[in-house]
Amino acid sequence: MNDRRRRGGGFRAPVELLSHRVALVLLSLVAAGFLLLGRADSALFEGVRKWFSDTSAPVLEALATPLRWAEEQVNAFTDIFTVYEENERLREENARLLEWKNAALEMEARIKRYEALLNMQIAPESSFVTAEVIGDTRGPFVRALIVNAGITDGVTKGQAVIDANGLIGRVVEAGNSSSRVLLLTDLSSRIPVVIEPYGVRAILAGDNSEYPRIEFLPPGVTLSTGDRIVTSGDGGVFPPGIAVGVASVGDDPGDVRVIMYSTGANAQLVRIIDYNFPTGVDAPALVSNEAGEAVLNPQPAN
Amino acid sequence: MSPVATRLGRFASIAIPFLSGLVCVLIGAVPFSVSNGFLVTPLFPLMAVFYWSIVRPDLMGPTPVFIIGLLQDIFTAGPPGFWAFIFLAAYAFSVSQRILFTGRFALGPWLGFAMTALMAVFLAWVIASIFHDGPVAPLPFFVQFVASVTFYPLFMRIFAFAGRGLARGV
Repeated sequence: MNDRRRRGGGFRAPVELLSHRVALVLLSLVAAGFLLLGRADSALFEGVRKWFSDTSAPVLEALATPLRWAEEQVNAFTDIFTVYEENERLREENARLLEWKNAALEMEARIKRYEALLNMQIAPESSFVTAEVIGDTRGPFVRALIVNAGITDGVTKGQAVIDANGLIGRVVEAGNSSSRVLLLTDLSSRIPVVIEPYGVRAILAGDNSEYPRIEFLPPGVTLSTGDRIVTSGDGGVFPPGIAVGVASVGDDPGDVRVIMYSTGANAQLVRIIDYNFPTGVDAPALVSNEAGEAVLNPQPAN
Repeated sequence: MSPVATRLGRFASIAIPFLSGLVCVLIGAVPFSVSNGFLVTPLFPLMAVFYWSIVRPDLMGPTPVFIIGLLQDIFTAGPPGFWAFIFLAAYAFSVSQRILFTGRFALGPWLGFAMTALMAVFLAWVIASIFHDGPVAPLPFFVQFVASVTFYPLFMRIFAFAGRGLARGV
């Protein structure tokens, strides 16, 4: 009888069933305890996560290779059905981009003249670390990537992460050889941004949808669909001016969403920006002389 | 076959349910974006938890389910205990309805998984909403439910194939 139960995969004895139930209740309580502890102190489990990310990085890289190949094959196959529409779209885009190219060249020349005129100080050059996406956790609760660059490559917590199209997120955990990137679409992502051309500052808040919200707009400011969103550089972690996306205003003018240049969903290679925020304060350009008149500072900033 | 090889084979067979859950966690973490980013990763580990809990609950007990859930938490960067708690709840539900899900009705296991997955994503939505002090967007959870149910028959076959080795080992 016992043997028959065993073959059926059931529990062998009431004692076994009881022990299963007790374990189930105890482990559920432990899991609930972890949830509460994690809510109280989110950094508590960070070390464990980093260790697992580092340890599993080679496995994920190995698994990613055949899946990438499969992905390319599937995409190549599905592209067959859209090749005509894609061709038409590209022709239109090409024509539009040529116009933009001319406008950009003109603007570039103009900006160079302005910079020379104003003797404008350019923000310190940022350095980059290029990394490959080896893990992708696109769940309903968390939107994050794992990349194969860590502390040994110069990656630190908080750095901005971009792909070919624009900002996709920031580093939230840096292990020795891998890091976790929280995408802008994640529920807990908050990034300071500027809306161009007004120069209005706001916060880009992810909500797990493909289109993050614009929050904390100053009172009286109304945006239009198509307004460009870039990073503000506030806080000194992100360089200012990284392209994020364009505004999309719904029926309610207060509900502004952002159509991002890149959600990071298809990112395979990313760049992690090491931005050196200028911390020194320049000496004032004008100082008072003995007579109390404003004169040029004889010891200007370096 | 030597006694050592027999023992090793037996151990490997016993470990298959847990290992399949572990592989499912890793598969869920691998980047794959054929759907242009729309597809929320299906709950692959839940498929392993459900399948083995109705086929071999003696080998997929609460402890392996708890560990699989914790690993899922670590890989998805979710709050620790989040998926562990949900998988344990799903496990308790599927084990309690095991007779029903493994009955004569051919679609029983699939429907059973659909019910379990629905319960799991609903619980996930509730806990996520509590964590964020307000209701979070339910659509990604629904998409994850649909994706999981769609992929389950394929994984069910893979687990069944692995289970044949189990039947020989134990």
